[in-house]
Amino acid sequence: MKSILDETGYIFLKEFKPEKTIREICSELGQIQEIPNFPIIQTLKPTVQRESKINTYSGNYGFGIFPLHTDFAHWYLPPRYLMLRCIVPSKDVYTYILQVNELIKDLDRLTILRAMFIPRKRIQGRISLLRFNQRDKNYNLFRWDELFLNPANSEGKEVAEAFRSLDRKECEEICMKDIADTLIIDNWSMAHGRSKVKLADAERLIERVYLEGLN
Amino acid sequence: MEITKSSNGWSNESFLNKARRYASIMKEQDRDSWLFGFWSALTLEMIARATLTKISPVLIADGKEWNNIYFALGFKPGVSKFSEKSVGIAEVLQRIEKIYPEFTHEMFNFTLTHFNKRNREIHSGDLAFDGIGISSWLPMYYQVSKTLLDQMEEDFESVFGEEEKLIADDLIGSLKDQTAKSVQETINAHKTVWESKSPSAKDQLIEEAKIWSSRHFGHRVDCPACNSVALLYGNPIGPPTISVEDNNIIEKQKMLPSNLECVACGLKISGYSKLNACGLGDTFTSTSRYDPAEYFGIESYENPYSGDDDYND
Repeated sequence: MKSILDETGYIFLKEFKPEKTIREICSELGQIQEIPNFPIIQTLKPTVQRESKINTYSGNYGFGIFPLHTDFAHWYLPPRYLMLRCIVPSKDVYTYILQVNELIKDLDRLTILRAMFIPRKRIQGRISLLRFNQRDKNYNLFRWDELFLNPANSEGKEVAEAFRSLDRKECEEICMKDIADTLIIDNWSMAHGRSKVKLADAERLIERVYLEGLN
Repeated sequence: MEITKSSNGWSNESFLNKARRYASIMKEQDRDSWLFGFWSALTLEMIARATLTKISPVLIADGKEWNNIYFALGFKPGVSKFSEKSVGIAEVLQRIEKIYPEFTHEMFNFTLTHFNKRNREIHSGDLAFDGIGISSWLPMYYQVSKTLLDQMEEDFESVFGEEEKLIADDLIGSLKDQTAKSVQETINAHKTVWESKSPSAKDQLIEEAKIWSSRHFGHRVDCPACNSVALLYGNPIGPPTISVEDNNIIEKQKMLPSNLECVACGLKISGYSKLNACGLGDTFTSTSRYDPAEYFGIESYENPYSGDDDYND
């Protein structure tokens, strides 16, 4: 499974082991990533803007389109994988996903190397510059989030513009229209978003868990 | 990998990102403005600290207070109002010089001087960067920056940008040319004086040089001006290799040349870049022999009562 994800950036498992809970699936497939002050299993339900916290996607976009982003992009080292599992399906709501490498293939190598962002808020009382493409001998990750990051240099602005001007048709569209449809995304190489939600789909319910690693 | 909310402010990544930010500001300045020099010093300080923290953030922790080391290791000291303290930049440079032989003593001296200007700018009423033409410092500045970034396997242009890389390559090239020209002039001048000596004077000086070199530590080479035996001195690079031979401890240490002295013609060349320019830049090995007691610092034990007849039965 890890090798497929390394190559494609995501796996979509149609109606995957519906008899099992998401926690059981996670234990089978990898290692759950615990995040301080976050429940291990989060439930995602479309929420109107005014009913949501201002520092959340629902708080900003409500039933509207969620732009492409990587989760926890404002953290120095974000979680590696996220798993989305359908509890209450919807036929008309799509998760958009895109390999960041595809988005940036027309950008200059130096733009990618030099692009930096600043988190909008201090984290743990501190604020640091964050590279768009942060890498080390042990890892290589991309980060982007319209809501939580501001470009810190001209290269950062170029990357931000590339994301904002992207035609959504270039993204893969995954529709979690059956119970137990399971989508695993490599949060370090893929950006994801969500389509608009109509009122008829307001009951859509997705469970989300972060994974540290895969078997 | 462990998720991390915010980076340790002493991480290699943090320092390099700061260097990128400062370098952008530096490039926005007019090259003749004092601000160009000022921001260049701030940029280089970030690069220097990044160089050490590439190995480990512990290397910049001020060891006088253990909590600084604890912080560098990624922990949160349980001390109220803790404020992490790192070593001063001079100490950073000394450590870099010891760890990375490519960072020569000349580079060390240049960098320290450059940082002293920054200190004077901030801590005094002096205008430390005004009236100093960039030709006097920018080539060496870029050479030092590139050397440090190379140690981190970081592209120069990732910090300074592509355009500046082209300028830097030109300036570093011209620095090498200038150094080569200057050392050749020195060698030629000594050669000319040497050629004007009589054969008997030369023979005597050659003999004296042989005797002198046999009585002093150094690596024997042929003097580039007069071909007599000259001595090359150097700075240690890397850890020594230790072996045992005939009950002696043999320590071999690789050395990077730093000075040349010839007592026959009086030629003296100082600085690795000049030595390299005249073909004397190869490393050499210094071999030392120790007896084990000397090497391990064991004092020889003598029976305090030996020869003391009062206590012998």
